[in-house]
Amino acid sequence: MHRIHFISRCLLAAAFFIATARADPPPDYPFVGHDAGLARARAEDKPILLYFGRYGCAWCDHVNRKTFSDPGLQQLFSDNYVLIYVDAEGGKRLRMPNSERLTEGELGTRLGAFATPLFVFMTPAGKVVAKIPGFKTVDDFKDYDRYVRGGHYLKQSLLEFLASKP
Amino acid sequence: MNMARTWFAGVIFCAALPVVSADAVNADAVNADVVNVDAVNEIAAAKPGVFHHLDASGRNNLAVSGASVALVWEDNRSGAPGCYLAVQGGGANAFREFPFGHGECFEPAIAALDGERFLLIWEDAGGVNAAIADAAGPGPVRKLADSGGQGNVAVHPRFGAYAAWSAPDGRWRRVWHAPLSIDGKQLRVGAVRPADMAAATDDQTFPVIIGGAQGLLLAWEDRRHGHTVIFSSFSGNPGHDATTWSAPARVSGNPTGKAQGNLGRGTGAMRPALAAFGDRVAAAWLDKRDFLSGYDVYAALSDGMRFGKDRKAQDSFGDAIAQWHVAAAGNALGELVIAWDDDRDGTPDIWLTRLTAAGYSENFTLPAAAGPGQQSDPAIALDAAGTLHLAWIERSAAGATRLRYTKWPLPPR
Repeated sequence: MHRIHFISRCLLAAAFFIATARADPPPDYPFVGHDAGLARARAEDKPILLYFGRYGCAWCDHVNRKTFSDPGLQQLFSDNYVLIYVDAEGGKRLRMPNSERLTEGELGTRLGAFATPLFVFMTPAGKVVAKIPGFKTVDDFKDYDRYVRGGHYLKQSLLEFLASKP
Repeated sequence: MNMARTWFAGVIFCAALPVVSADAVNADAVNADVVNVDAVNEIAAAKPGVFHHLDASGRNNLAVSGASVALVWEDNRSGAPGCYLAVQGGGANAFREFPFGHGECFEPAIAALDGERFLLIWEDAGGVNAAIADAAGPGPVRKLADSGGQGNVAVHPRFGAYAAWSAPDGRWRRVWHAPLSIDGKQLRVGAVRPADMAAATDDQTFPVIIGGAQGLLLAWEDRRHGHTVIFSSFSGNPGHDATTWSAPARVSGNPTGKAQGNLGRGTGAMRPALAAFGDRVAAAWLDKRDFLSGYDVYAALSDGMRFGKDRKAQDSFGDAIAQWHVAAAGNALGELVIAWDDDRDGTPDIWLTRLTAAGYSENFTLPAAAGPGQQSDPAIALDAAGTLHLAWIERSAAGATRLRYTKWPLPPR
């Protein structure tokens, strides 16, 4: 029985490794691919958090361990957002809301992804409402959530919203 | 956040000012003598909802054979991505356009053959395909692989034509290459071999192949170290068998290893381009070893077999911002030009540098490919006489794109 349990744990670990080794989204979050995520966001009328990472990225690793490991944040973003992961150097072809086909790397150019991680918040229709580069804390992400789901982006820039100390 | 980025970029820029050094640039060698820039041709006009892409692996979308110039690209004018060839035959004033590919077609690339002919490679619904083209358009299609993409082609005066592409092999993508024999407009495919004989341990993508004085050089993106680096392999006798290709060797010096705190696996280097110039070969790519300000343009020079230490090819005025879409071109006279786009002047422009005896020149622009609006995605070629041919994408404020082309005789060094 112990042996079966051990084997099943090894298989689970291997499955996790295969699922996560090629890119660097945080574990235990329901990240999906770009095209599927855009379709799901429209269908479920949920905002999008697009995580622009890079294969081997140290700061992505840091934000995954320090910030996305927070159980409350995991629940908040898993429940209320469609989570999309894009590999900033990837060659996978994506379909944009205007039907243009771009590679993952080219999407990074269009978004001005000069550093990773880059967090892009979008409406359910795929309109960009905020682009946030670099390491951010749990509290930062809670602020971003209030900005996006509170609809403040309709009236204020993110900087104006944060400066107003809501 | 744009304000924050601008402020941050400004701080980085100011910090970078003291490192603009005489050995990094050669102001006298270029100071672009741009008065002789040719008139600009519009190869593909802007239409609502149509997106033009110049995104060949190695950015080899443009080639010159004798007096003929040819450009390949992808756009969606038909409602789906399709590939197109435009050829300006010797003496012709205008480009003549031809569609090619079956079904959705992506990432076409081109190389010059002799006799004002060209070699094409592309990905479409049928797999990876190649064809010979001339002023009358593409000839019969030859399939290279059932699946895959990111194709690139090269022609060597002694070893003939070669193709390279990436395709899945189980869990990973690998780089493959094959010799092509040419009979008129007919192509035959020789033995297909992997660039790396060892079993893949991660993805190998975006290959580019070039014929240099010593033989063939192949470069690609490689993720075997857990991050993206540039690798290459050389063969001085490629037709013999696979063992004549050297073991993959690292080209880019972006460091491998975890950052402080046991974080990450290394910075990235991507989208290599190769150019043969004189008896040497240059590799250029986008490199993120300075990870706070986006990719920089790095290059390494080879004796034709192995690459030496890499160095930054852009000047320091581009350090504070990201560079994109690096392309390279050379010729038998020993001229080497590297091009890319960046928005150091406020909007994306095509920037260039030229290798001189003192190193890479100050970065410069050409009037037609810089200024208001967005000019990006350069594709370049140098002809035998030393004229630079440049094609690029111009994007309007409304997002409409068009393809433009010009040429510029390099001033004496």
